[in-house]
Amino acid sequence: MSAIIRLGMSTSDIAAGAEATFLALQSAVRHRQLPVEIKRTGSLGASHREPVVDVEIDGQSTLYGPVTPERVRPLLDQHFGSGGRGVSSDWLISRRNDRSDYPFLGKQVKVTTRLCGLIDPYSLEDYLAHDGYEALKKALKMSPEEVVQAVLDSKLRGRGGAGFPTGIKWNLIRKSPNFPKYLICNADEGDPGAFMDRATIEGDPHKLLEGMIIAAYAIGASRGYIYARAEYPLAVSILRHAINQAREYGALGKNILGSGLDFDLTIKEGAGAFVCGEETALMHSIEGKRGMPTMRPPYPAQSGLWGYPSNINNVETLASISSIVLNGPDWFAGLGTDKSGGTKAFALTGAIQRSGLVEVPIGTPLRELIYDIGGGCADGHDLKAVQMGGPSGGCIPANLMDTIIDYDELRATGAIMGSGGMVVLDDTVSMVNMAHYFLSFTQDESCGKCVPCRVGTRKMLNILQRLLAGRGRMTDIDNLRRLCITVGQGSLCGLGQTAPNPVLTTLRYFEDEYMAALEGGANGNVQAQLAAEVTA
Amino acid sequence: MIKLTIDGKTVHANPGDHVLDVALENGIDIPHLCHHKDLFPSGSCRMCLVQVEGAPRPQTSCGMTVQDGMVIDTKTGAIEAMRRDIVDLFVSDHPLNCVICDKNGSCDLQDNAYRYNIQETSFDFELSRPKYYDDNPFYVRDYQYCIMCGKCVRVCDEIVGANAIDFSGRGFTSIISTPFEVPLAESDCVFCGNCVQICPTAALLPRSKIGKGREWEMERRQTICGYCGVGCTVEYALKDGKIIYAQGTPDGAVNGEFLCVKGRFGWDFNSSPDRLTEPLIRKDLAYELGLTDEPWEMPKTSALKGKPKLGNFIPVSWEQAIDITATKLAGIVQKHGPDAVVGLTSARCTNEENYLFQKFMRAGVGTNNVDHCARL
Amino acid sequence: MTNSEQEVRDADCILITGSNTGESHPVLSYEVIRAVKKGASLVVIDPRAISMTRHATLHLRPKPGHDMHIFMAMAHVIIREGWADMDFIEARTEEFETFKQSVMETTPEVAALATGVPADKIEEAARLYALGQRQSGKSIYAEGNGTAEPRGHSTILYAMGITQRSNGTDLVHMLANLSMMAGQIGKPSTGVNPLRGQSNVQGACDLGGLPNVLPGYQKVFDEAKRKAVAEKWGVADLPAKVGLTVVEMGHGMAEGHVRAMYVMGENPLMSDPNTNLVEQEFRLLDFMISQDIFLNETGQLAHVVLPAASSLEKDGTFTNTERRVQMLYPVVPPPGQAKADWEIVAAIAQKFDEKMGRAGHVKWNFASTAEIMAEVAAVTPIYGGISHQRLAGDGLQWPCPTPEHPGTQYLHAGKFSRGLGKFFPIKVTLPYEQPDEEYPLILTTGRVLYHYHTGTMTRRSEGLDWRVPRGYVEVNPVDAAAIDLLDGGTVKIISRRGEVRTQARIGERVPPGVVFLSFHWKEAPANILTQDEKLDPIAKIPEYKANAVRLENPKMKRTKKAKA
Repeated sequence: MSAIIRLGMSTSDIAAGAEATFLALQSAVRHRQLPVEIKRTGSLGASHREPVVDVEIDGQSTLYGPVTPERVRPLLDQHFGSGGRGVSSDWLISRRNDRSDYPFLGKQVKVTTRLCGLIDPYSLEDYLAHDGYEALKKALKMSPEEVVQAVLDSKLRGRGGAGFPTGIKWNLIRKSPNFPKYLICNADEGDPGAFMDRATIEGDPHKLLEGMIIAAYAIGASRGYIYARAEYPLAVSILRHAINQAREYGALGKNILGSGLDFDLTIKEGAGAFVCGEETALMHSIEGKRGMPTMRPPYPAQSGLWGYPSNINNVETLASISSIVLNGPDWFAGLGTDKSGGTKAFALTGAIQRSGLVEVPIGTPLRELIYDIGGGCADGHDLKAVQMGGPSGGCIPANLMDTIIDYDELRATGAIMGSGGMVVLDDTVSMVNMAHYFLSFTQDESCGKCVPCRVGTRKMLNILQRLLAGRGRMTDIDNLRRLCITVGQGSLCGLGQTAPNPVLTTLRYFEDEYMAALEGGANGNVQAQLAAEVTA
Repeated sequence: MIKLTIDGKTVHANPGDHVLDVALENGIDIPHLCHHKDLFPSGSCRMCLVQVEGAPRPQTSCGMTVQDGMVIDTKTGAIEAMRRDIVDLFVSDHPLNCVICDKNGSCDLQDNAYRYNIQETSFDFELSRPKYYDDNPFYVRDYQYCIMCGKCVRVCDEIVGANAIDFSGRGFTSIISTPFEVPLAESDCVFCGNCVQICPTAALLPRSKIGKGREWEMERRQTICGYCGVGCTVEYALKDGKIIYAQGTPDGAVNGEFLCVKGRFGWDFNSSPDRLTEPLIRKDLAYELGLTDEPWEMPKTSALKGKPKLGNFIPVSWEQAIDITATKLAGIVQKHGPDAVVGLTSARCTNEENYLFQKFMRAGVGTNNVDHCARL
Repeated sequence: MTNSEQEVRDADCILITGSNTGESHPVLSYEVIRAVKKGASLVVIDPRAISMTRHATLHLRPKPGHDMHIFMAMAHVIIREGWADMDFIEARTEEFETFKQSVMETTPEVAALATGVPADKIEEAARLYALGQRQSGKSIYAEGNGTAEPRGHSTILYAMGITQRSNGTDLVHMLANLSMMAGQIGKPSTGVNPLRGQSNVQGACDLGGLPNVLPGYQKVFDEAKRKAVAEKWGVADLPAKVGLTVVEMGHGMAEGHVRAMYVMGENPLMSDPNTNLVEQEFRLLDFMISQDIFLNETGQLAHVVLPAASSLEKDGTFTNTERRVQMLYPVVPPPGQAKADWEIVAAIAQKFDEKMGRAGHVKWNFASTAEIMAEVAAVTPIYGGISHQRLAGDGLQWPCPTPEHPGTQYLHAGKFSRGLGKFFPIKVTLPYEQPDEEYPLILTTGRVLYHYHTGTMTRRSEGLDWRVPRGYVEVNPVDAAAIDLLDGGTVKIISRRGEVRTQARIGERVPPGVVFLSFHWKEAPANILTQDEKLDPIAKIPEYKANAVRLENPKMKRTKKAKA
């Protein structure tokens, strides 16, 4: 009998109590002298059931959660002892290897998060056992041009939210005659409630590294930076560990895997500024300056880090690369729509039954994601809207749930694909309040450089505050619309340009709530509730 | 040469030129608050936005390089409305205290409020950074008037290289500050005051100017700085014959608008009470010449010790002073020959004076014993 | 300067040596910063970590007085690597071979041993300078302007750190050699550029304020030129014997053949070397005139003190370091009875001639400075085309020989002033005074940002005096530790000439073995310590940048004595 017990030990698992569960599990296994390997893995994504334990015996996996320390004993009894008393179906998640009995997992298509929850993120052997660094070896046998072509053919678009085709971006920097070139991974996941990148790094760090090394080979970069949030200490330490392993393995440093390629990586921890997600601000931050955006052009591909050509991709984009190289661009493109290939991960939060990290093919209707995977709103409430893309995004009302997940389709609704934040709002939420919440976030995070963003968002916020307090003025709605244009069109960088989106979309779909607020204020302090849900 | 169209006018430009500069050179006025010809474009004030044909959103003209065939409209209704809104936002956290403001009459924000006929903000007025620093004798920082254009930060970085200040904080209350808000004297500030010079509002003002008069009452006179050999042009603003403050001027042949701490703030020695105002004769010589009855002997203590001792001298008229000097020099030349006289001309006097001095030594006294501190 | 100040901003490589540009020429340092911000490389060769080193691509830090090795090794590398501009050398210069031989022995490794600067840094400096290599960005010279010139443009900026040395003339020749061998002269943004420290030191030199030349650098012993000037002045001839330099004048007083001194707007007591001796010498004079805006230290020894107008109170012209003659305009009236120096000099000269019984021969009664300038133009070929009328606006850069001449932005374009550029063979000379057991440290002197020369003006400026009210000596922590000296503590600096007591500023701005003291403060006058024995043989400049001294901590001595 070969038995493995996997326990999710990501940041979110730990927040749910996974450390206590691990200690209980470890001592019980030792005490009973069970022939069991306990594997600490990343997160499977099912945040609503964490801590999650996967018991695999002879290839047959059973998934449980939440597994509190007191549930360890009955669980071990069930599989290795006297029998099934004490294991409740309430905390049984799935008995099938393909998880088809649990739609939250069964309906997902996992590419970048494929190994999250399966392998030990500290184990290079685990990664190698699952075709790890095979894509790199394959890529090194191709020419850099062929690698770029494969990425072009895969129809991969930037997962940071704007959706610029990655292959085109790579081609731009590839063609620059200036050296050195820098490759930067934006792991400064700043949207409130978003944790896709954290989960990917904590579950499968080498997948990101492998993608970066391939990218460096393709674009001709000799040095790479991972700009990571300082608030992600576990992810950062896992990454450091993985980088050291990759160096020892020969996948980083001089003459990578004997190919002659030189490339090395440095982690830069950000200071937690939302604006550092903006490419130019991020580069200034790496240079040791204050993270402030500058005008583009020049684009990073012309003059980026320290004035040299630089390419910035986000974690999910880079984590997709090895799969594209290994399985072929056609396979990847085939997963998505005509214009956009592959899958997209979302952090599903808010008033949803089954919250967590989900990865679905581009082209999946929102309805499927919210209802089939997420199980609809919790506690019998009705869906009101979905807020996508965090503070830069917008809301999509319940009647547009047939919209498919696609950059252009989503943009048409006024929302954006975003980096993957998806907050589900039920009928108890005041949309004015929701707009206020996100706007206060952007106002706090404005770098202060340009007046529309620094002062304009403040004035918008003041208006929303007045409306919510029932002290709205007749001119407020007009001023709000006017400010949406000035801030959206007039701001210097993406942060300011997208800051009005939550207000614009709520004004578009829920103008009646603004009118009601103008007359009588909002009822109840929903903001506190929303904030609590989003950051849960 | 690149050809483009701005507001229907065909203009020519060099590759790499920025649209705003080209427009201004061609007499097309695009409002701007954070632009300076000697600084890299920053795009922070958003006033110079223009509509470029084919672009989805307004473009920042200060940072946009010209492209052949570009068609630009600088004054569409939407753009002008946006500019008006931007000024409206600027004055929503900038007190319009113009009547009592020392910048009144030379304030760029005031000019733009005038241009867009903004008497007060249409949004709610709210001070964002009511901080006032008076921590040095050179200039004061009154951040309630700051519009965060960042010109001070850029001049400190791109021209002076001191990097004493930067943006600090986030959001509405963000501010320009030294690291950890330490007093300027503890920062890397070199007190050149170039930030004061290019500040568009009253956020940075020379201390000597505050309360000393309105801009339009001041007379302006230019001359060359008397300190080092760079030869900066300095413009002095005077009221009632007194210097109120000094600044650079765009037509400075070598320095443009920029100066250093000595050139900008070091002029007050000129009105020091220590200035010599009448010719003096040392008392022992005065006694010898019968100008005083008291005998006196030069003390042995070093001239380096203590304050300058005017008491060792008595005042005489110019006629007396010149006569005594000429008589003495002539006497020595007649007795010891011309080479017994030496002269030090001055690296701080004019060409005309140096010329005349050495001419006197050579053609008057008759010696080449003339030198100055060129080597020192 | 061979070139112009604003050309610096377009340079591809800037080599600064012996100049604390950021503090002594702040506004010119802005041009350097601008170039660096656009991607130019900056090489600083200086023992001290001056403010420019913050922006430097490369900082070479030799012991004071040892930089000649570095320049020679740079030349060696330039020849060895084939970076010399042979076309330029062949077409425009002579005696390259002799020079080449003189540097063949000085490999970077030899220089590294002598100076403590790593050989690879010297090689890198040679590469950046000779080829005009940038850090980033585009050169306006080497590319992108259609004329595919292979190398970028490099410029050398230097100041008193090179010239106030017993081998200063050799060092200047060496810098000129470097510029010629790399073809980095005679073009915009290149050249060998001395930064002059005072508002009109250039003009004072141009117009004959030196013992060996008449206006326009016409040698006093060149009979034809001298006679031509004499004729214009209305005298038969002028003295042909080279006069005394500042330091020699003092020696002349001691020897008794100098009996009178006329000082206009200078403070030699503070600025000349070996102050104690200078004061003794001045006291020997029969007669001394000090004509100044303040009663300065020198003035206190004068018999007659004449009140002068400041530069803000008169008109006339200054010539700046880039040879630009610019107009001064009066801003405020002079105080009391103070008069412009030219009026005083003219009155004295007039009266002097009367007393000598030869009034009327020579013209002294000028109605205006413009009239004086007209005479200047008549006797000074390089100023021949200059008149006040033409100077309105941006002024004119000499040589400007005729009224139609537009002035000269940079020298040596196409042809050197002397025809072919001459290479000087070089040998190493070390500072006259070497540190020994008794005086183990090297003293170097200079300015600080907030003060100017002998402090007469700046110490009377409220703000400047607030910023740096007291003198101080910079000491490396290693040397401070040796005498238990704390930051801010009082320290005695002692040389063979005298001693100075001041406050210590301990830090890494000076390397171990070196102390820095400024000469702005009469309470701590650096020149009490400096030697006046061995001057540069040609330029007669004292060696302010390397004198042997020792430090004493007065506190430590007392405690030691108490213990004993």
